[in-house]
Amino acid sequence: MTLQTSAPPADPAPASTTSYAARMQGDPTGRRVRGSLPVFAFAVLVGTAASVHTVRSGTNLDYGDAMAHLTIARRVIDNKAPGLAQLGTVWLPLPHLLLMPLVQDMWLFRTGVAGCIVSTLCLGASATALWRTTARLGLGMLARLVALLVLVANPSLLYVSTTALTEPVLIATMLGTIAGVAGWCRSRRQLSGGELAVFAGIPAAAGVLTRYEAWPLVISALVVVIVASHRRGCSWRRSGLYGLAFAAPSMLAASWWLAYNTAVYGTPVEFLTGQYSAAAFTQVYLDNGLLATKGNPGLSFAVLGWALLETAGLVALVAAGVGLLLMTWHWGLEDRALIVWMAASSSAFLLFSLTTGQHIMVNDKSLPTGAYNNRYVLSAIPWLALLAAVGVHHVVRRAPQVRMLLAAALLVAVTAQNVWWLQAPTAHMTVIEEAHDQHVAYTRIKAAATWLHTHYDGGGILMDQTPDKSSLAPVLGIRIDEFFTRASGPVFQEAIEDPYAHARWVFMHRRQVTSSATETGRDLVTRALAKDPQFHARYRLVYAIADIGIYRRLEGTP
Amino acid sequence: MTTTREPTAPNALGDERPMLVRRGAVTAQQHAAARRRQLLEGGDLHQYLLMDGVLSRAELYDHLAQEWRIPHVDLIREPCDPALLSRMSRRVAMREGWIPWRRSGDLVVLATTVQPSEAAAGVARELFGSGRVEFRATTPWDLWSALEVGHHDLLLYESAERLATEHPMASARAGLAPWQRRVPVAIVLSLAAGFVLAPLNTLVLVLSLANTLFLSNIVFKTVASFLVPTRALLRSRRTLAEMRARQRCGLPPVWVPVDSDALLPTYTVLVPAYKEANIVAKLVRNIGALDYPPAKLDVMLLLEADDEETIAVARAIALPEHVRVVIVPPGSPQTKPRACNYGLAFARGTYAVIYDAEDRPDPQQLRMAASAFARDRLERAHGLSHRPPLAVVQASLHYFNADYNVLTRMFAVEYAHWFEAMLPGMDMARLPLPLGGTSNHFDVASLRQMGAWDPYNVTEDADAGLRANLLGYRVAVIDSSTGEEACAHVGAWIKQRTRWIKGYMITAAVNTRSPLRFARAVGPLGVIGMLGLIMATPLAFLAYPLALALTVATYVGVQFIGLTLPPLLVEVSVLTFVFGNLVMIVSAGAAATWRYSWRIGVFAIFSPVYWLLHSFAAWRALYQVIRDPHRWEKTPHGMTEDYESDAHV
Repeated sequence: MTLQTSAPPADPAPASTTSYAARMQGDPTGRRVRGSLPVFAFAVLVGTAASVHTVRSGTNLDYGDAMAHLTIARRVIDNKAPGLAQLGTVWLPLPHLLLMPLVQDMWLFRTGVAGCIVSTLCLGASATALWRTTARLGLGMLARLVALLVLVANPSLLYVSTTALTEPVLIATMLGTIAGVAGWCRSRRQLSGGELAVFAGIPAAAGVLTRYEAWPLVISALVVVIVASHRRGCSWRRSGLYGLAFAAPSMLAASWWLAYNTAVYGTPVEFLTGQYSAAAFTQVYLDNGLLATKGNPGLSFAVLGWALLETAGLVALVAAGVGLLLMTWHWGLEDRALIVWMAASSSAFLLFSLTTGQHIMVNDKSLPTGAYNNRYVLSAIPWLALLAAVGVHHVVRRAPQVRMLLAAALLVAVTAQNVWWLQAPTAHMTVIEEAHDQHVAYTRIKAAATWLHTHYDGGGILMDQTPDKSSLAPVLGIRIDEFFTRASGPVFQEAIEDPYAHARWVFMHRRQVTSSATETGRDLVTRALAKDPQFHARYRLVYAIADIGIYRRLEGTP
Repeated sequence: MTTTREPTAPNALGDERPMLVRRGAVTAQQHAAARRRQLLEGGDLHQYLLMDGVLSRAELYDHLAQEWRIPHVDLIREPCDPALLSRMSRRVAMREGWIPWRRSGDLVVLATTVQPSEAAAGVARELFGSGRVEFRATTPWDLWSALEVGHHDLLLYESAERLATEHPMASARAGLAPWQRRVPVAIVLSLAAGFVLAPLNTLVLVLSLANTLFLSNIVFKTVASFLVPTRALLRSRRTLAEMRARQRCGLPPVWVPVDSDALLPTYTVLVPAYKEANIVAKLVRNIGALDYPPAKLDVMLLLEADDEETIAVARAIALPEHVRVVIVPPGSPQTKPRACNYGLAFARGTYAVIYDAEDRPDPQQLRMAASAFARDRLERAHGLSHRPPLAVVQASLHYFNADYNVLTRMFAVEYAHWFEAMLPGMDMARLPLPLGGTSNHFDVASLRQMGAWDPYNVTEDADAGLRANLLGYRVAVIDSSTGEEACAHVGAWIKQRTRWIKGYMITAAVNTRSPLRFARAVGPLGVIGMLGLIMATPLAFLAYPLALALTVATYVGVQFIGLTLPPLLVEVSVLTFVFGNLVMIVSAGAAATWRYSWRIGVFAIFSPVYWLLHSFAAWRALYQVIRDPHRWEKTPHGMTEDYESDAHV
């Protein structure tokens, strides 16, 4: 193990480095990193191409969560009861706030292009941050390109980058944080706590408000900041102050979230214990004996590992494994290694969540098998990319003559893997399989929504936000303030009690279904109206598919 | 100081070579080189020889003494008779180039830096009532030193007390007027009573006032900033109108600045420094970069007598001939304006400018300022301008260490907004301009008539700008910039900003001791400037935490803090606050992007946090206004060492 005592110089570039590569390599301890803008443009271009493909095929709205995020973002403004309270507590708010200005345009909302824009920009930001991190680590050109390859050539990640899912935002904030910390730790000059707060603390705070996987990243980054600054000669007190500067934005963000929960729901831990919380969601699985990973570290590891294999791919995993060995051998626990280890915190958190029953993940290794929530492991891609890059860097450093061979081999391997994946995406790629499964599950309700979109002639719609319907707004393509839902405030209850006076249309399950995860799955409209003869006397069933029914008011009925 | 002229008449042997060549002090080539520069740039031939290091000052005046056939006197070793010296005014002495040295009965001996003449002897006879006059040769530096010693008390009075004594209403020495002390106390007591008797209504009142103040300040700044884009348009229209007017007056249609260096006026550069030994060397480098004939430069490094370290460093460095160290004697208040006043007493320039030691002015800045003054004079002389005479021009400031850390970036954003948007906008609207701390160029005669700087005002610059307006002068901005070092440490920044905000408070108080008189003197625009900027700035910063707290409380839900405020107040306040901040962020960000780059401009988004620092400084300033109004908290320089960003390039 090598313990670093001061900011070390970057590893010397290979002797045979081309002049262009040498220029791009630049000074890893300087403020600017050459190539950042082209990398951003390239990744955005790739994301745009992928978006065009998924939007044309409509698969960008396959995930129910993707539609739900679009819906939440729009209903903050477009609602009978607009306001920040519409952000709810099911998910952290930042992805919705980012989507919010875009989804006010009905076309961007309906097509899901709003999600494409945000996620593709996040892909660009992620690639740029990864590029900058590898530069800060002093890695060579080939190593940096390999890191980009692992990130940008991953079809699963590219797919979610065309949706409104929160993974792209999470990965961008994670990589932003890592790049910020790397830049701060590796700077020639001791940068101020303010710089750390802005360039690393704010991305971390954004992550805190995006997904809970970012919370452990803040803790690991805090440790890295304190250790690195102490190694640089700062006193423990000074190092602690730097740590505080880094963590302050995240603490503010978390405080805001607690205050928001208190203000809207009366308790700061509503997001942990409320009826819409993940805990309430997993409880249903627990009650049904479907959460086998709880208390079983071996199974949790196997499930997570399989998800990684199916999502990141064998090539990335092998390259990352080699990189891990070489990094540990050469860098031990010096700052550069700690920076790479930071990226592992989300995977560690996932493993912990699976083992403690806080998280559900279903794949071929789980009990029972299936495909659900495997996309969460996409947050491990940055770690794998960094490890793979470190591995390539060390190989090329020791044996510069194999550089071209290695590059070609990696390119061929990644291409072959992608070709295999794309031959049968729903069978080989668990993220696509999940999307496809949900698309199938939503087929009927989407058909109903599409019918309503075509036939809606105003007058308001009464509809409860059961999990299947809560995310339908993009398919419905009707202004949300036309709806009476749970998110409409007290007027929802009034509409249930007197639908005739409020809504021309009622969209509900014709029978109460309780197979959904939580109590929130019960359709309150169904409960109130399905067996109400008054209702059936005044409304006519105009569309039905499976147990879904769309009713229209009979005008002139007393 | 009258220039010395080298005798060129042939000597008794008919040798027509210049005196110093003849004497072997310089070679013919050296003399010819100095002469060529003199013809190009004007000024004193000897100055060029001294600047070239061809001979020392003592050697030069030894030769001159021999040529003039008079003895040389060292005024440091053999000082003047103080009683005799006190009978001659300092300015007359500097103009004539000689002072009375000793008197013996009917004989008065003069120490002169210029060739003895019957005219000088006549003046001396008239001044001292003597029958006979004799001359001794001395150097200008000895002459200045003698004047400093001989007029010590008068100089101290002029530097520190003259303005306060002769124009007490214009000085901050007396502090607040009685009514100005009573009003804040009355307000505080009323609020306290209000919070006891009707807390909610009082809170509503306070929040309404806070928002009104915040809004008015934002509106003022925004309007000023948004005038800038129209400036170019109006300028082109004005240029066309001006061409026609010039032709009517028989002048060339386009103004051409002074095209010969020989016609440039002498320029005094005042560089006050205190405990800044580390940047004396930089001063020499920065002043050396000015594109102005050195022989026309009169640079004074103003050092306080108790600053032994800086004095030692300054004396150890071989300063150029046109840079002199002036030691400001101990005295109270020990402030920068007092040092500047002291330096002004010895200023030889037609114009004067203040720079901080670490400042890096645009090389052309002195020429541009001189040109602006000359143009104003010409236009008014020919009836092309009916505006008040130009007394001051302000160059803009930028930071050469803009991206050193977050604080310097914020400072850069703020300065860019101030100098690139607000000041030009205010200039266009013909509002009185408060000056920035450095790079303000004065017409020396006007400055002296204004009473120079108020040593009791901790923002003497802002005060001088307003006083110029009050006394019927004009302040303008020029399109030139000076690189400054932004304060990079929060603690030092707080102290500096406390001083600035305190200065605004005191300047407002001084100028409104008699509000009606002030309003009559400056007119509506002056009142708007005073209310919208000088008064509203500190008040807005004082009110900012209240407005922020209300917004935050509302943002997370009013019920969170258990307050039920009138919905109208809540909505208007949040709207004011959010949109006010947004407008300021956008305008400051645009100005900073234009001045530096987007990498600096984007930091404008953190302005709401930065303004919290202002608020802290504002409350600290308010405390100091009450407890210690004249306290000068020095801003340290050289903290970022040699760091230089390329953001401003």
